[in-house]
Amino acid sequence: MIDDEKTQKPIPPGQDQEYEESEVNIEGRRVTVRTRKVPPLPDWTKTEIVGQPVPRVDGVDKVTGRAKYTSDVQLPHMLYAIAVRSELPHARIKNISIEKALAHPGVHAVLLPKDVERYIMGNPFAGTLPLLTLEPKYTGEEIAVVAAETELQAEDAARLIQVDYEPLPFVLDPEVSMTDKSPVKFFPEGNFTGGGFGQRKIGQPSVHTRGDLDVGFKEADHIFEETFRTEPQQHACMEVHGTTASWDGDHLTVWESTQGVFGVQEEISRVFTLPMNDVRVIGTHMGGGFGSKGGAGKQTMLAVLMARRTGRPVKMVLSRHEDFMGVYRPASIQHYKVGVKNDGRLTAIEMKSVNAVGAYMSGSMWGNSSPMTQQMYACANVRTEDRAVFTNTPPPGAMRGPSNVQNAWGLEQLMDLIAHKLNMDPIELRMRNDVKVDQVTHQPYHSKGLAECFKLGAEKFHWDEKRLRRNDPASTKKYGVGMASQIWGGGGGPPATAIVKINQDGSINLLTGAADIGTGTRTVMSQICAEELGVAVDRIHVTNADTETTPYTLPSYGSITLASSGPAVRSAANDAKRQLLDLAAGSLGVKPEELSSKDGFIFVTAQPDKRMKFEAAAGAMPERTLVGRGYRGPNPKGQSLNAFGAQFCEVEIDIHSGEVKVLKFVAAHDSGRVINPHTFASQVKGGITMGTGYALSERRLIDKNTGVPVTASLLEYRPPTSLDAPVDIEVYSVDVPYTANNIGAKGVGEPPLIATAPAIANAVYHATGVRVKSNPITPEKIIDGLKSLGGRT
Amino acid sequence: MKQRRKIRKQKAHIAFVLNGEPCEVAFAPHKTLLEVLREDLNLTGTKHGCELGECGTCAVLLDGKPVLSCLVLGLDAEGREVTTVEGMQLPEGRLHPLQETFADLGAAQCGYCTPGFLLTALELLAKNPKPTREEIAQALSGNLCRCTGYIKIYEAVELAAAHMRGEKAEVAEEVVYGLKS
Amino acid sequence: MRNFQHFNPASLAQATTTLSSKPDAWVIAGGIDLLGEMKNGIIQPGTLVNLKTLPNLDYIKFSESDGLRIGAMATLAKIEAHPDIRKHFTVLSQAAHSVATPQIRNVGTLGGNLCQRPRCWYYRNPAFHCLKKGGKECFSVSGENKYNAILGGGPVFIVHPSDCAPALISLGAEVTVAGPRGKRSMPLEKFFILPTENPLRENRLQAGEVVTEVHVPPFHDAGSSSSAHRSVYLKVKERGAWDFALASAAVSMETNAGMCRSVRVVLGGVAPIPWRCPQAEKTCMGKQIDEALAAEAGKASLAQAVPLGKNDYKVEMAANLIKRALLMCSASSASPR
Repeated sequence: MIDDEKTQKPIPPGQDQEYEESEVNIEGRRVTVRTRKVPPLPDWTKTEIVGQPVPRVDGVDKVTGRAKYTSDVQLPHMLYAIAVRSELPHARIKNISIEKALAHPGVHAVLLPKDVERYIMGNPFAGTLPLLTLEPKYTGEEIAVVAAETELQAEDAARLIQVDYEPLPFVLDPEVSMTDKSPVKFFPEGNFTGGGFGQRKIGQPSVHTRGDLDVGFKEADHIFEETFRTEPQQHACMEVHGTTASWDGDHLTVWESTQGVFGVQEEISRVFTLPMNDVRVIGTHMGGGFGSKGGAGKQTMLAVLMARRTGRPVKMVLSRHEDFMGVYRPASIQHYKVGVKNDGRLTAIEMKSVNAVGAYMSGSMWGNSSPMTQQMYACANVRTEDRAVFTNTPPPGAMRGPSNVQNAWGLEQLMDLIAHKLNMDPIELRMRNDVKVDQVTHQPYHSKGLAECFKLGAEKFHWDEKRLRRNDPASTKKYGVGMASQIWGGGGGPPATAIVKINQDGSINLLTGAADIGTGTRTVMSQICAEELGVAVDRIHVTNADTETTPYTLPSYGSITLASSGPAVRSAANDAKRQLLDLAAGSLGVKPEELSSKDGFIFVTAQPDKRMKFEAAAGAMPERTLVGRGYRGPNPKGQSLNAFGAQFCEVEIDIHSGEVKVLKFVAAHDSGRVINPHTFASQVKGGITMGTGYALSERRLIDKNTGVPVTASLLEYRPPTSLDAPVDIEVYSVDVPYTANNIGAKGVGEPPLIATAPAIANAVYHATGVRVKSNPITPEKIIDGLKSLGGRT
Repeated sequence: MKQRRKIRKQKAHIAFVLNGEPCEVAFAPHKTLLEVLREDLNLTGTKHGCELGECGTCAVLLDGKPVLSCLVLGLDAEGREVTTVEGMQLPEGRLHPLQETFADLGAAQCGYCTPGFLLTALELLAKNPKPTREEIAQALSGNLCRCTGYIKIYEAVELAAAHMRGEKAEVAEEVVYGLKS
Repeated sequence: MRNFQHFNPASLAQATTTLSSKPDAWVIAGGIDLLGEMKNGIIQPGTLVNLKTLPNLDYIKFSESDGLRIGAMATLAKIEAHPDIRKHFTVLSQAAHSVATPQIRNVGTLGGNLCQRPRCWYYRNPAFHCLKKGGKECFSVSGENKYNAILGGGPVFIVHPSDCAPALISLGAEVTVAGPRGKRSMPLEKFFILPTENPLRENRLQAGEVVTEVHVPPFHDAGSSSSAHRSVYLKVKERGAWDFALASAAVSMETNAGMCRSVRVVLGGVAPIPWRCPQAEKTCMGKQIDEALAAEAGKASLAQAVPLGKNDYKVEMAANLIKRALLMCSASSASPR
């Protein structure tokens, strides 16, 4: 708890209106925002509630079926809306006949491209997309939408809408699209642009360059040239994308399965020119996002429009099949050329990546796979080129650790390959190339616990011993171990506002705009609030992710939720506490600075038996309520805020069948202070399982001849089941002190997935000698790989 | 194949036992049990995840056996016993030990897959009061979870099983090694 | 899913009569495969004839003299757990256990498992009007064919998705079907047909016919002390659960004093029908099975394989499975691994 409360000075009038610039790193995109200066709070030296494995505050709602998700919302007279989607990957639509559909029982309306063309969706994460189109550029693109009284009627009516297509040539392979041979021209200047968030120009890759490659390669004792490939990964959230929209006069309420209600509100307000106070977006419970639900979807806008048109509430929840034709992690092809000294130091890295980003510009934001190459290892001479190549596929979106997950697959296998070649421990190789300064921004890392992650992880995994173990040549089962490391943002930042309301019975309402996408946001925010107020968690009720009742905060993406909203919650709780202490000071006959609040009591710090119950102080509030406000302050200037980690794994491979089983993972992560060990470990275990899917079974595939996706189901897409997930996962926090915000925490949502797949690939190599350079590592790749090694089966 | 047929309109009317209580409901006969539960009986605790039997989020108990309600016709419930997550609670609204441990251990993250896991685990413990980790993983292999990585779910099932056997097992503290506490 | 009429027949005879009189009537047992096809818009039945309410179709009976009889409506869960099947027909309990997921095995029936339609992703996707659905093209030939057939393919290259079928054929099972003109039986092996015979169908069921029983005959000298019968089902898939075989091998073997006296080897996941491997059987007959012989048997079985471009791996995988299954069945240890 806070022992030195008295060092805090009350804010003089007007001072809280001061602002400064602060950098925020979201999914690799650095933005500078104007930020309210917030009075610093002392670091928590000893905590009572923060750091404890507090059970999730919404657990009971979820285990009883009470928690209402977007798809559970049912309103009287509600209609169901279904989109008519393109059957071809590229076509011009000559005619759409809707007469039969309109005449079908229960049908209320059909929307066509001409009805919606003035509404253009566009925000930094969704990009610009037509809601409905007459020139579909990928299979599954929305052409029309129909609403009816039952789902069956809507489905039937959608089938009755006749679309006459004029097929147009299409291209799926980015390496073809990039060349003159492409049958499709997306832009006059070319079929690719730079990938990522920086300045992009069509026909030019995005480039990061430093030093001199020629010099670097000349210095090298060894040069490695390798190509790695990654397949598209789909989020496959258990709850699909969906919206329910209902108008009450001019007031709109939207239930959206989203990671950020405010982004959805802004987008609706902008697209339909509605005042924000008439757009209420509710996203309290949602069934997983993983990046796919960062903002409004097309179905959001279509449901809103359809509800306006019909005067009825409209629900538009995608089918699983449709969901699989939406956003995903893009495919990448990564060409590396790396120069290395005999002692393992990197002298030059050249990386060229090709990233397939679908048919719209919006996807190109996710079309880079080089951030780790630029940052992870000390190297003076580096050049990366990212090409975001247009293809007739849906545009990708953010997916848990975007860019770094793809990059790690190549880079971390490459490091392993170099270590084997140099006969060096892969950890040693990584440590020889360790760096304390962000080589892209030239800013020092505020904290970097990577060395600690290597040390603790290796020790707990028994890396040294397991690495030297040999396989029984007679056995068809081979065992191997591998490791990989990662870097991610996760420092969070402004803006985020929170409100803490103390009621006259001493109960507390915490209002935060942050979405809880399954990570435990509600729980950790309650802990932070309880810690600061000195009361038990069960005294707090959290209301979150409702634009009408909670204040603005950044969405829950980029692993920023905790480090963005958490500090605002602490500030709000502190503000509320100070006000309550002011009141209590009168009753206890001391100055407010002399008081502390802990364990449900307000007491004189120097004389703890002079105290009153928290609720007694609250009962004396003249206004019968008290409102504390809190804001997320700026990040420290001139520093890079990043989370690090290392993962170690052991695999078992059946060389007869080619099946790979992950036996064990040890994950050591540096994410600053752990607010709740339960939720921290859950993120890591869940991330590793998703990474195991990326490594071994998940793959989105579009038929090369027709442009139609053939893996658009959970069966064909193959997310890991209970029998595929690692049997044993040990999670460690290295607990390196972090002081860039007032709760001492950085994010851990995305980091656990980044190192997983390359760690598995490295273990597969260790076990079999087969270097699988494209994911997923399916049985056929093991069998083919062993065959090309010379029939070791 | 694609030609539309004239089909006589009708509403099916069935009686069955829902969460221990007799229940009658009328619905369009093509509806699956999942749709009948969610749309006609307003029990939305049972979730829809794929409607093709590929994810397990819609699992309910039919005569005590876990089935996928998206691949069972509502008509097939006639005269049978259906248990959904809303029927898991014990008398006086107490949580079932499985509900308790899933909530306490954080086996429910986004929570969307949770009802399906709970009901499948409920039947497992009814027939096997002390399952091994491997038996739990096998029994739950039809339920996809995209958040947890399954381990928390196993731990919750094991702890609930211990409670149901009358053993005084405690909520295991999450092992996040290296934490200074 | 489109609307339909639902019919609970009073008897098997009424069921088959209804099925044969209404061209758009389909039989529904567990419904796992059928409802999936209806939801995907692959089929649109006007009437569903429900077998679940008919009595006495879900039995499992075993005696040393008569062997094993399983009613078509017996669920896969019941089959996998049945103590006699686990003891005497290991290959079948293993095959049943390997199907889909526990919830599906609680509902899915043996009859349904044998008669399920292909899982080829072109067939299952309404966007493709493929040869199997009466179209003109098998999209797998020049398309994404990693899961398709390497044996017996053409003009369609589906693989038969059943796990129980290879297992039962390895046990020499017979199948009984009932139709409007009564019952008939045939070896299960003969029940399945190649696409050259009819690209639209996978079996010999005629209009109105339904599978009613599968019979596994007894082993001739099960009691003899020097002889042993062992069987095993091995299945390779890309996920631990809810996946179909990339390749599977069902082997059932009788040994006497270590010599192979009779053996049936059947592959799954590699051909449009469960694929019997006479070459492997011939290689093993009358011999003591060791690594080299088992490997030879595996190789010989795949000699005729014609991969399509992305499924070459199945050749080696299937040969490996045969080898391993033969070794497991001939191992000197008393119980199959």
